[in-house]
Amino acid sequence: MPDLLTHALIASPLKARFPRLFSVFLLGVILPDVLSRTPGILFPGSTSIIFLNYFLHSPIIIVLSCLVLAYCFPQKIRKNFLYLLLAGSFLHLFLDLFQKTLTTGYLWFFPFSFSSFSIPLFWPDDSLFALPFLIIINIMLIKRKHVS
Amino acid sequence: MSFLLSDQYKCLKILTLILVLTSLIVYGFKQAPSRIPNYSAFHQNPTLYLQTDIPFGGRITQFSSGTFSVEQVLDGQKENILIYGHLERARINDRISGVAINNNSRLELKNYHLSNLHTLKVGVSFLAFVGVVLIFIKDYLKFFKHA
Repeated sequence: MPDLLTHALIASPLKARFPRLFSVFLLGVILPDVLSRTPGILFPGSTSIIFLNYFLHSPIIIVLSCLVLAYCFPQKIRKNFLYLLLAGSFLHLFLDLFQKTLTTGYLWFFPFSFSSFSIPLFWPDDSLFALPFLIIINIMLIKRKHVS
Repeated sequence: MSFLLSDQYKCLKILTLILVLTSLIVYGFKQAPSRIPNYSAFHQNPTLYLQTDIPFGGRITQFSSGTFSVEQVLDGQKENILIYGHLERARINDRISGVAINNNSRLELKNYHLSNLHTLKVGVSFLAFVGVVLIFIKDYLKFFKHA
């Protein structure tokens, strides 16, 4: 996975589309990593917890988790919440698709299949090198918005 | 969709979703060790995973001719793994993630990646997490709470 800041900065230019609900979209963007990494932080060193990294990144788990989260919000805006959480989460998964893996990558078809695929363009830690550029682009976008 | 997202039987729907999620996670935990063998599984029964790719990861602790050792944390305990193979541009204490093939209970290096940016990545991710949660709480109190 690229780091969460990279994920969030890539999503930031979309703020203009839905300014009021953008934080929900951002929540969706970080959701897959929060789901799969939190158990590893709570139980460090556990070998079985590592498996969660694989299948908690699968689309079916993400969709169900977004549905559970959506119920925490008022019915009036629940639909928008769900769509934005899903859009953010799938943007995250789309970015993860391009990372290199040495063995099994994320299980996109879990629980139907344990096979995985990726379009290997960068190592997970390489996202840190993109951070300065992403920060500059985001600052430029904010400045442009203020000028216009 | 309107029924699915309505408040009707809300608790029942949440419980059903949590039950499905739990079942999927339990299924994943049961299937994963055999479908995605890791070092722990190999360590317990090396003969079961002959000619299988075994992932490993940790800090490089030792080099010698044609072998190197990696300190990996397994169930809270540090363990040194001996890998047969040659590493280029690697130093002691470098962080490595790699994959080795189990050749008669001997792990032979197949592919690897060196990176010392892991801690920085975790720190940056934590900052982003805190930032997003704060933005969300701010928006929740401002817009969503009274919707």
